Amino acid sequence: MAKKILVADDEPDIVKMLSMRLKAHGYEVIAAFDGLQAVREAYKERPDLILLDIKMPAGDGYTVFENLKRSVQIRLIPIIFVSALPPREVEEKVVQLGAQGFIAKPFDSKELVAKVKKVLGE
Amino acid sequence: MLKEKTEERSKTLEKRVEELTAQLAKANKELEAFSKGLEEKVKERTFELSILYELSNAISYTLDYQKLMNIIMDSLYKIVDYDICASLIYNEHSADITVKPAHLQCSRFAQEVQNNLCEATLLLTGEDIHKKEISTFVIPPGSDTEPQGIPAAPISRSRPEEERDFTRIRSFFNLPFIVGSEVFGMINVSGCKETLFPEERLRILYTIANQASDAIGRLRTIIKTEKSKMDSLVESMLEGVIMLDERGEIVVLNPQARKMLGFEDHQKVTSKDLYDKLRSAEIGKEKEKEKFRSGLGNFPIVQEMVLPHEEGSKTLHCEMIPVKGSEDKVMGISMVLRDITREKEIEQMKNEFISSISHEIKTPLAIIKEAISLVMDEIPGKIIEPQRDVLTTAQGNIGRLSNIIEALLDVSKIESAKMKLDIRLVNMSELIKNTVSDFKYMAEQKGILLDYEVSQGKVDISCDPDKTRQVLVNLISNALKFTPREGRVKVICKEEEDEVIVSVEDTGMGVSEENIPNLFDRFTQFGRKPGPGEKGTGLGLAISKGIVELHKGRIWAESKLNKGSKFYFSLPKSSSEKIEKNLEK
Repeated sequence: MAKKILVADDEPDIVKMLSMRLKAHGYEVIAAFDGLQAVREAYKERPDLILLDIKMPAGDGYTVFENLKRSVQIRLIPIIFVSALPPREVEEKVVQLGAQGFIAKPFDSKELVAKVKKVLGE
Repeated sequence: MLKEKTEERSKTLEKRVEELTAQLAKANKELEAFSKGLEEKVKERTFELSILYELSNAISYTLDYQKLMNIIMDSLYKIVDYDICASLIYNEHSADITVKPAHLQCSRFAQEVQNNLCEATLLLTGEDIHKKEISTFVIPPGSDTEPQGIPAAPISRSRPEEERDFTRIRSFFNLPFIVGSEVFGMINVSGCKETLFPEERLRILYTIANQASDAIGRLRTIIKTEKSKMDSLVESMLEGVIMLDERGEIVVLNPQARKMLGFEDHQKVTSKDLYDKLRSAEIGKEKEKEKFRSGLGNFPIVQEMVLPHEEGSKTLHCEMIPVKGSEDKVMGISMVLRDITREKEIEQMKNEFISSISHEIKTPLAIIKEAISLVMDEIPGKIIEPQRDVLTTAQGNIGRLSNIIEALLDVSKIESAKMKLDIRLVNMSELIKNTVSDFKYMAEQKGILLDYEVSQGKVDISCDPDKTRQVLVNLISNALKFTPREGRVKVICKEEEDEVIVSVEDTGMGVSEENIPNLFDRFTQFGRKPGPGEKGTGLGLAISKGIVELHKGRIWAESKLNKGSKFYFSLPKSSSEKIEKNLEK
């Protein structure tokens, strides 16, 4: 069965591009366009991985992250942050929080896919 | 009978001769005494004249009150054997008192002679000196003005320590300073002896007082006109100006300085108020206060300080320079203040703008980049070779745009002092070796010989490895960019006593001499080739400079047009301590 990836980004075009790329690699993609939706979809769909933007309306990436980590069932889902914020300032912080990684925008799709595969243990 | 008569006659004659001789002797004696007295008088007169001459000479050339008073008092001392002398000069608001005791024992009369002066002034003019701001200056005994070849005083001086009774002042003399009909001061001469002022001395005392009045009057006029010139100049300046004298008292505080420091328009500002205000500033503090007082230190001191102010804080640019009088004597300090709050705000706005716009650009850029790579990876469908070629060009330019954004972010970080260094102990030789090897392929492609020369063994230095590498990458890629085929690029690392100097030398097109100083400015590009090829951001060297300076190092260039360039940067050894301090700021 195809693995499920939740892509949460308030920019629909980013979601569109990422969906296309990930589907091409055989993943099932669920989309969320704000923080609240991301949390709801995470509970409902129980994805195998979440790609999480930081700057989003209705709960930024950090809030979503904290929220998900509070639930016993959801907390084990790996999360990779994807953001345009300066990597130097953010990368260390999200790794310390317990995220599986950070990808800076504009990203290199090969690196992104490689990281996704690595986190999913493929 | 005749004999008797003759005898009597001769006796009378003898007596007469005796009488005459005696008279002659007496007259002779008187004459001698008279001429002696005359000689004395001439001697004394010559002395008086020479003193007046010396005095008028000395006071014509001094513009320093204290010095002038000292000269006058010295001259007086040659004429009157005083024990303590004091002068008072006043204007509308303030009074200057100078006290000069002749002997140490007399210093305790200082207050008494001051009171005498004030009382005499009150009696003579109705002016109450105690209502003015009085500054007192005491010239210690023994600090005479230099001798000027004056004949020794004919007045015999008693040895004061042995014979004089220093219990109280027994005689004193006040001479007013008058110009026209205006009294503006007084000089007091006091002694512990009862008869200090013989009649014949009074005349020359008056003369000296008159001379002194003239000199002081002249000095006052000069100072007044100069001061009013200065005042109107200083008042109309856009900069804040503060001047302190050698005692640290405020001499000038112009309206702009008042405004900048947050003092009311007519508020009386004491030097203490000023120091308190400066002490409340974010930078500077105690150290600067000491410098005001001592008038020493490394001048000019230029610094920025942030002052708490009613409407938010104010950033002031402050420059301090010593005010020097004759013979390089420091007479005080002047401070020029410039309010750069607005400039700082605009600078910050600009940096925030760059930073936010850069982030805003990154998202659409990510979308475009991914869209192109999706097409090139043929995910939406097959493409043909010419299409791939076009998209490759697009992709290359997206990379370029990303670089510009990163560079802009770096520049704004450096300018807003937000760039932080992650200091580690780095082996410079190793860093150079690795960086150069990253460029090997690129150099080979361009047919350029790229090599390095580092000293044997480890060259350990405290620096941010990523940032230092960034500088090296900038310099090497610039060198490769501007060096033609068959050229050569060489990286050299030299260890000096207290710094490590890295240079990147090329055989490229070079930069003309007049452009060298501008090389490290933002958006400066020299020798940019038209047509296809890599194009820089014009920010690389500006960023490199920022990084090197953050490390307290230096960066510079040597170049000859069409011969090549050599870029250097140095990092100080054992600089970690300094850098940490810098980071705290």
